[in-house]
Amino acid sequence: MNRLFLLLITLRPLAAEAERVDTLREAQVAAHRLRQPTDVPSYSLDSMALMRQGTTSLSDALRRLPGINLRDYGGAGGLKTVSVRGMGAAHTQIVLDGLPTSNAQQGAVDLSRYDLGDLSALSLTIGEQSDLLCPVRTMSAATLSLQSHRFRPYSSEEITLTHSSWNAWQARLSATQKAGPRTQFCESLRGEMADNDYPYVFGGEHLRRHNSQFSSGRGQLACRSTLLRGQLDGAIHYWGANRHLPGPVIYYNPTAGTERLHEQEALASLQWRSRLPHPVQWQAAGRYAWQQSHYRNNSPTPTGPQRQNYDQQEAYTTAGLSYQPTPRLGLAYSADYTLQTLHSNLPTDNNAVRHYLQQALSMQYRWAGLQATLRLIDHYVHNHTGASHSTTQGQTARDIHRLTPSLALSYRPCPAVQLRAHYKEAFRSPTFTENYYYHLGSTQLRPELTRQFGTGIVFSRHYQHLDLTASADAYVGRVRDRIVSIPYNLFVWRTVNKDHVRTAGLDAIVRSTLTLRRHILSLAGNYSYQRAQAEGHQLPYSPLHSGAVSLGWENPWVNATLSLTAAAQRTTTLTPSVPSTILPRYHEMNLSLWHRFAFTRRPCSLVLRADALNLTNQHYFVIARYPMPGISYRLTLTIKIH
Amino acid sequence: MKKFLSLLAAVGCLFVTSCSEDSPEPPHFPSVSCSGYYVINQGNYYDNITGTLSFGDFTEFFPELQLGNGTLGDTPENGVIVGHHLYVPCNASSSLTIIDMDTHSIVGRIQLNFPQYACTDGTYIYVTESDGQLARISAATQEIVRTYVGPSPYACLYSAGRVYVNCAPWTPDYSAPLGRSVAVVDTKSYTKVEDIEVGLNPYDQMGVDASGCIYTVCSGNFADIQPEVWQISSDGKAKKYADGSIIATSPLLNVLYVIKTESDYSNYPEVSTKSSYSIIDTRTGKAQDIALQGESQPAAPIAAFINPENGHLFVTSDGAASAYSSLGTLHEYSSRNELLHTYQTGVHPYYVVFRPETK
Repeated sequence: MNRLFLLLITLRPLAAEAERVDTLREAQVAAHRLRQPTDVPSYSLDSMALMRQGTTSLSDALRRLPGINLRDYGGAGGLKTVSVRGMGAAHTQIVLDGLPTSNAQQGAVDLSRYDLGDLSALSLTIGEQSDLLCPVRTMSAATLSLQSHRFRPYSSEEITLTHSSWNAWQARLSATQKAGPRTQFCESLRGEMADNDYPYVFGGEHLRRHNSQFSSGRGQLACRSTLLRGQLDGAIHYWGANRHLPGPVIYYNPTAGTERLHEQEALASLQWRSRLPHPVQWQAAGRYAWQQSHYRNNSPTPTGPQRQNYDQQEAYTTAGLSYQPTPRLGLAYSADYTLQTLHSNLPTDNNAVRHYLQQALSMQYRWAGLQATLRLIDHYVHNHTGASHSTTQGQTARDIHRLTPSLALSYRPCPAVQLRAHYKEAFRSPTFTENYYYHLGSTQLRPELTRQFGTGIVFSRHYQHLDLTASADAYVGRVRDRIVSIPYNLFVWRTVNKDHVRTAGLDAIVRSTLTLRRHILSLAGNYSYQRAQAEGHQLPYSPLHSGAVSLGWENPWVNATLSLTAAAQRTTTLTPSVPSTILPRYHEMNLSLWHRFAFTRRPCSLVLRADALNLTNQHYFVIARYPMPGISYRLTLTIKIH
Repeated sequence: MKKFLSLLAAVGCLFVTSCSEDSPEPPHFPSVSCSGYYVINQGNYYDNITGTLSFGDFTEFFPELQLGNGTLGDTPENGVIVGHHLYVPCNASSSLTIIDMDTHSIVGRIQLNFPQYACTDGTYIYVTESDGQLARISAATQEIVRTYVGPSPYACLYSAGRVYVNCAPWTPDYSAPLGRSVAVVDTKSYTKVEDIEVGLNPYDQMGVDASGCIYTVCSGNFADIQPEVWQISSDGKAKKYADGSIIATSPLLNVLYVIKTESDYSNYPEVSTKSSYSIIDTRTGKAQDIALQGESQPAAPIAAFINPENGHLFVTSDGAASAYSSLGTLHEYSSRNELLHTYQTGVHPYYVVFRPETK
């Protein structure tokens, strides 16, 4: 972290030199542009939308996207995972700055490591990627893309200080520098800490969430060079966090919360994307990722304190070529290779190695208002174990070879309306935990296969003062060979392919902005109906109805956004038996006020923002026994220097 | 409570005397008046189901008692009665909950170290703790004294000045049980005096018959080593006594009910469970299979108990072998094995404790 900071400081003179004093400063022009609808459901929130909708955290932002089921274990630093359309969290590919990131040990990526302030945009794509040429791993059943780089065509610095309830502090420093006409650097540093001991109500008692302290730091350095024949992006990234894990709330046990988790992650990536004038384009990228997790439980369990240390490494590379022989027809071939390793101090789960080779053949055809994208993906997964391996029973997980097709169609009968439909097959490999973790793991697992079919309509139009976008997508799907843990006998459980899940639902959004001189009114809403059933019962923690709405008013004085997120009741078990297994519906209302002070004589501006979260002080649980915070505040000061 | 235990012992002696001749099943059970019984429902806190108490007074059954001053706690394991108070060790809550049986209000909680099981001699409550201790708690003063008994102590039983403790450690990865001993603590010196070797994995079932023989279920390894019932005679010698996973006996009787259950998980979530019941005359060792009568049979038996008032057999059961979060059932059988009542309880009814009649 310290080295990154030094680097950031030393880069500043370089950038200053690059901008000659006799050169006019580049101007920033902000304009609203309606996003072009895609042939598959795709929902995005850029920094402007995030601000207008009053989003306060990444989990809050994710609730503004339809089809997402967020599992939030509460509070700053609490585990947060997403699943889309009832398919399970491991089917959602997290993409960071264009390249996939993963957790081979657990499958689902913990999104609490990403802070909304670090992101310039996020988007959710379901079913298929619109781009003809993209990495194969981003062609998963659902893709959540996070964009952290904030490259700007001018040099700038930004300092943000945030203070919120329960002694939470965050400082962020980011800068963009031009190092020549074609090269930019983007650096950011973030540090945060929180006591996180928020009050909650459980069993009629007013309690505090003790043992929930959290601290983390993140540093990133990115470089973009726009060359004659393409664009080169490079980035290095480090994140580390220390968390106390309060665990589920247990009645009358003040000694609970003896778990600690220390995590680190380091990434280095390089991407090249050609920008050639002729019909052949190509791209290539590579990323190396290292993740470490040290878990401690000092509870006096019968077997003594638990210590589980995991080290994961992932080397990933992708390359692809597209060819457009005619304006109507596009062809592309992409190949990804991923090497994942896991080492631990456990007698099992040790020295596990996995190779992925994925190849995709894509064809896109456009004619009049019609667009069709056909893809065939070949997956090959080879498992083996290291020289001194000691995985479950000394066995290696089975290899997997599978072809998955997909087809996306869209038709635009008029400029404002788009009709779309898609069919997609996708699968996920068992995680290392599912394969090897003690006696729970099984090396005989088959991959989980998903099939989904969806159709929808998009309306998007710009009137004189009004921008309006609305979409509705209906879908049905099925997860086959769902991986679940079941009892082998009363005490010993095994992980097997057992259930099938059937899903059906509807996702709808509306986004509109009304511009009246110096006033902008914005309305955004999303609604999801999601039926995801196994054995005829709705899956635990899957609400039938969920949604969010926000109303914003930008004006010369103080901008304001009132937002509401809500979810219907959920169950903690597949077959609820007693009232406590049904979690009541909840809503959370937030109010955001902010104002931007621009200084005419100085090249800087200042943004003051105040958020009141959970205004109605709802005491609710997304996950049973993991309480969410009640009413709280958040104050943010941002200084921007251009 | 002391009077109740003395009465039990006296009636037991009478019964032993009366059973010295070969007699059939206990047709006339010497009565020890009970005013009701509590069913301790473990719940499942992972699914947000806390522990509850059911109560029956032989005329009415209340599936969930509304306790005053809070809830019972998470993962209650069993219960013992001393005086007017019911003491329930709650494992996850790491405490011993004290309930006034007259008002059904919680009158105290004693913080312990993940308590597993409790037994009593009428003056003290003995509680096994996860770190290997046996805590002795004075019912009068709540003073706690501890002695180390061995790794992972579980069920415990007081008999004739000694506390017998099942020690059931597993491998660190919880893949296989290791325990093969019952620790014996002398209550006068309050130290462990011996470890008695028994079968693999002595766990959560213990009982004593009228002859003072201790019975414990060694649960095996849930694979190739099947559950066995072991007998520890009053001279401390242990031997395998029967095959089975659930037992019920009484200090008033020289009989031992043994239930053998086998569950087939291969078609999960449909789990088929077969249970066979037998009764053993512990004086002769003669076993006799019994067929419980009635339409509603326990789907997945958890535990069995004998009502000290009339010798009726109480069997608790899950709704199904895999239904860890479903409501359970309590089945009451006459001494002629006729089903008298079936009640719906809370989730995972783990233990039944009979409440003596108090004047």
